[in-house]
Amino acid sequence: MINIEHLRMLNETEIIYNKKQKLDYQKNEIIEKLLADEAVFFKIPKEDAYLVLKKLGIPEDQLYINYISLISYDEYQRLIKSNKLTKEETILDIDNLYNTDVFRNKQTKVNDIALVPVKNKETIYEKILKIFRKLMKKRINRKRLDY
Amino acid sequence: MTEEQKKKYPRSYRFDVETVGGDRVFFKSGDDLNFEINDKLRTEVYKGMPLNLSVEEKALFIYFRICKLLKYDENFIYSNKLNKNQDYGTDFDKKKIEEIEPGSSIICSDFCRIYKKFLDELGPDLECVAFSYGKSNTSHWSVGFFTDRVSLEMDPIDIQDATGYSDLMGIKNGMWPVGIKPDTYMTPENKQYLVDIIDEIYTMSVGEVAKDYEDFIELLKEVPDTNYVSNSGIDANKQEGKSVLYEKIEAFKEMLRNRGITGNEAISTFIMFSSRLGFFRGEMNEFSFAWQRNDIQNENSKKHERICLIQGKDGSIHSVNFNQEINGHMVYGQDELKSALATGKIVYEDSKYQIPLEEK
Repeated sequence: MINIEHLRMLNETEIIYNKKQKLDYQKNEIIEKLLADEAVFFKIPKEDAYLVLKKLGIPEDQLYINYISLISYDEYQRLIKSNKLTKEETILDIDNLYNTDVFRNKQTKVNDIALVPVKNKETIYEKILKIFRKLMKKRINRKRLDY
Repeated sequence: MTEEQKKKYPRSYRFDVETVGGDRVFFKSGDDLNFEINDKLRTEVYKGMPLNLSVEEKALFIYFRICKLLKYDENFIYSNKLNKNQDYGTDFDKKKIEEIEPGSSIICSDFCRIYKKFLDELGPDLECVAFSYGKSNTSHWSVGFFTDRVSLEMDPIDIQDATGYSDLMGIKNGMWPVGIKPDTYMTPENKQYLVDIIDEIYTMSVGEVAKDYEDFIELLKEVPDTNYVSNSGIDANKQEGKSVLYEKIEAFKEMLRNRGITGNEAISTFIMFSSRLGFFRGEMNEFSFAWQRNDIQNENSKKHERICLIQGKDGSIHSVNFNQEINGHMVYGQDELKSALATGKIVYEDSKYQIPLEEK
């Protein structure tokens, strides 16, 4: 999974290289300004995000998978929680974004594993046993009251 | 600050020469501050600053904006170390400081002088003091300000141990400011107030630069892609030690050093650069990790060091130690690598992943 910090590192490396080779690095200065905003990929359309990635030299076959990482559900949650992004600021259709096939797996994983700890899960057998115990307890208490 | 306020908030009045003492030299006024702020810098610093901010908010806005606009003069460190270039120093130079505009390189004393000059314009509710930790022309400089609610020191230049970056670098990259140090005597309520306004003003001051995405994207469309060549020319791949791959590895190592990335983190960053980011793709054939025996033994050196073996498309093999600056990047021929493997000087970390060598 790549994140924006990886892109900043890549851009910084390119600046060092280009400066040493006396090559133009105007492109990198513009990208530096764009990447200054941690939430930039939620604020620009996919085509523009691809342009930034391509200008950074990311190969065509890696564009999609890297873009998905940058706008992942985890990344969205992190930015929202740290007040670096509000839902209103995003130009992406957040309500539907994470329902697409690519993201559904991720969300399901979060719901199933992170939010419902496996240890606390009750099997059907345990549930029936619990109800049965409750009923028995009630009957015993009633009997006690009768005495 | 009025006398009445000083009595009411005695703890906040920290930067008074008489009360602090030590080796610090304070600059409240005098010849060292007798200059005019460059007009271009002034315009850019105040750009977009709302008028209804409190003095503390204005002071922070200016701090963040100066960090964003100016950069550190790296030559100063090198020249200071080598002690050759006498042009550099912290002596006050009116002409030089008045020429500092957005994008200029500065050192600690320039920043502090300029920042104090800006803050002196904010009126009597705030007092700003620049100070050096010893003689003004040979020591590091810092700055601070106090009001009736806030008292703090600011060091935008020094890399903070806890985070590994300074504000002059971090703020340009949207990182949380680390050079602001509130006075320990500040009340919890006032500290909370400071944290709240830092959060608010930081976004207002620094975030503004990245607002006009469309403009940046349009500019980006116009600039050509980088055509990687080395300073030896396009065919430099054939020249050992000066190939594009060699120089890309060197640039990568410098980035790691700048960010203080070492060990496993450096290895995982290299893998990310090679695979998902494709930085070395045009020039690299294969890579593998290995242990290299260190023949020069002393008390401080380890017997084996982890290296990355990178095979270029030209057949050259680069042995790279990401943690080592000097002699941390050697270029081998195929025969040399074979010999090193045969003698056990180099041992693959995982024998499944080896650099493919031609059979003779």
